[in-house]
Amino acid sequence: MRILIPFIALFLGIIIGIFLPVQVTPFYARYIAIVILVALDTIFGGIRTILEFKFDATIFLSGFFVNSLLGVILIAIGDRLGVDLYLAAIVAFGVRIFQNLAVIRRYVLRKLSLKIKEGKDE
Amino acid sequence: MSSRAVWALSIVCFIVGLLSVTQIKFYESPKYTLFSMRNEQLINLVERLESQRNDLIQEVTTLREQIRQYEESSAREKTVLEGMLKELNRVKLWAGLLPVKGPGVIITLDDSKKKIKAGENPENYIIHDYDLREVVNELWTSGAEAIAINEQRIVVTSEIRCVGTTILVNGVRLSPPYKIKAIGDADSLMNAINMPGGIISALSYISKEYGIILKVEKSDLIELPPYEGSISLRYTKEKE
Repeated sequence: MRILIPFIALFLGIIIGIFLPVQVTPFYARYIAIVILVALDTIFGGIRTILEFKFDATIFLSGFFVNSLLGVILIAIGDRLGVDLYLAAIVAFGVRIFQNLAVIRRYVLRKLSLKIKEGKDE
Repeated sequence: MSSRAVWALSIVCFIVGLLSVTQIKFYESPKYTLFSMRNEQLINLVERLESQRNDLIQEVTTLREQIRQYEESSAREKTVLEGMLKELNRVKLWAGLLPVKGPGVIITLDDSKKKIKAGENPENYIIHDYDLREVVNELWTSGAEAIAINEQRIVVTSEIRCVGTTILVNGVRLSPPYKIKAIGDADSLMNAINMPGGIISALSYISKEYGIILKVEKSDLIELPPYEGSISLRYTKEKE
């Protein structure tokens, strides 16, 4: 049942987001986009480490905040230099999300095939 | 799965939900469709100024009525003033402060109803402030005596410019179709504006290519409203 808690948190976030009277300006939209991407990357990375039994909450949360900060700083520097540096951050985090997803998929498939085998053995 | 892992995941999931919705709300808001903040701010400004202008127009109307009463009463008292009143009326007529009528031409311009073809510049499909400026300019050149666009009388201080997606004349927002009415000798006006190389020939080319609507017609009776804006001068003084 505990596995439901993150989903409940997600819905809570969505509902609060719908009712929160916050207006984003086009200028900040890119910053939020990068934070969303970092958060997704953190979640998939976290699931992967859970499956590998290497999960560490401190590393997990600090990774989220430090990566978000780095992404935001990249955008800010990019704005100053007139270079779309945030594209670099988006590509980097995007690639990592896919890699983590691939690892997760392998774990899940291996577990499934093990279960099927056990079922056959009995 | 330890409980710490669950809570840490939950925190980040919460943040994803919150931020995603905020972002989606932004991309679906009309703010984003207008896209540019600058334009949006300008339009807000225009709206505020327009309401202020409406209040001021009322004030101007009442004050002009007062002036008219003073003029009439003093004219009644002193016959000397009668001539001056006539002169004043003549000047007012010239300046566009009185409603007028007469023969002339009506030019109707409207944005294209055609679908924009891929690769085409959408700018070609709409009427711009400079189109109106050119037409008005050409009408003055051709001997027009009084001009109004969509009931906005063109006077010496009248501007024709665009703010965001609308055209302002006398500080009033106009929307298409734009009807430019000009009083003058209808035949010579027609001849002059239809001269090859003029703005009407240019516009009719755009009309053929992109489907903007252009209609030029003669009229025996055109009625134009007076200019309703302020006519006070703050810095300009008569040279002694």
